[in-house]
Amino acid sequence: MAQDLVLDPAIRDWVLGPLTVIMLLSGLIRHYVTILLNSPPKKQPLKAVREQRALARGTILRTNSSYLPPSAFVALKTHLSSAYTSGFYLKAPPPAEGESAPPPPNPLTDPGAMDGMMDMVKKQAVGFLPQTILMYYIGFFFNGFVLTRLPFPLTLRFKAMLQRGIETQDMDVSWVSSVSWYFLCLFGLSSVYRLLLGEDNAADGGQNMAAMNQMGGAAMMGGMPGQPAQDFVKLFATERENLDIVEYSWVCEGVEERLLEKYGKGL
Amino acid sequence: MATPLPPPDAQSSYVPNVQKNAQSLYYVKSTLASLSGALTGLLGLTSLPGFLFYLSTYLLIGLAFSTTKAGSKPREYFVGGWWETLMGDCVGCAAPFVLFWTLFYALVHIYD
Repeated sequence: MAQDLVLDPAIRDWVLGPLTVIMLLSGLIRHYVTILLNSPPKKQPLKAVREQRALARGTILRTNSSYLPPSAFVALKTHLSSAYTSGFYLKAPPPAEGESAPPPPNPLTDPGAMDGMMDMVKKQAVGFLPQTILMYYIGFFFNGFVLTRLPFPLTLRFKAMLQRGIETQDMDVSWVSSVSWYFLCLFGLSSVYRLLLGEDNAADGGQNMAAMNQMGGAAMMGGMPGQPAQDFVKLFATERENLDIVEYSWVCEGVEERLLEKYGKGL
Repeated sequence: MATPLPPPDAQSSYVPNVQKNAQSLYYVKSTLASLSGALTGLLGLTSLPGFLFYLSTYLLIGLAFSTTKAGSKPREYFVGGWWETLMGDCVGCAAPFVLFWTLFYALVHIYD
């Protein structure tokens, strides 16, 4: 491949090296800042935990129903159904008949919900701020250098993406400017972080963004830590209905015949 | 809100173990993908030969992993079986590969 440009070794020493090191270190810093900001999950009062567990027990019973013998299944089911109906596991005593449930507390005034929201905001800031600042910083200090050449050809479409900051019309597309090298580092350094920090690291900017999107989706669906309290009376009612419609069949139903069919041919 | 029963295949595997296996596989794969990128750059391979080199080293890593760690029976450790140990996350590991390829190619063959 014809080498049509000669790059000054000073560019390697003062742009390519520092840029890569900065990217690497910023990831490390982000990882440790995230660890520092992560407050341990708050302890929930006993009754709230009991409420949630009661709901989970219903789900577990439904998914594993076929492993239970009929008597055990029926006993568990009747127990849970009656507990759901009577509201025995509820945090607060169930509202009386005809009386409407008290309105849920405003999430903006509830201190617990506020804490959760602050946590979210902090995490998002740690994810986004360094990237914006770094982007600006790199555009400011390292603007207008041709850093390297990609070892593979690309089509002209990539010119705008890869040669940001260099206004040269006729240069080959595979030459790369500093902002583009920034992007390459952003997406490519994940394996280095995995090697340095282990599996669950918070260093990777690209992954952070993906996680953020997922978190946004979760917020929409109501799975957030700082979510206003769910109406457990209604949840219990639906869970009770779900228990009622379980199609129960025991795995050991007719097991003797099946066993004999399989092994008892000679008998 | 009814949760459908998991398919019989998933029922017989314990999810945390499957995740742990996949994690160790991808740890090995992503690390060696960046190493193979560095190697490609050092060798000075460009365009198609470079990508072929990536693919062959990737397959080699997968093959070594599945014959040693998974005892030639990746079906027992991974949900995806042979396909997962050989080709899993091939596209995701391409980003570190390209980074190291470009970096070492530049350091060795462009600046001199």
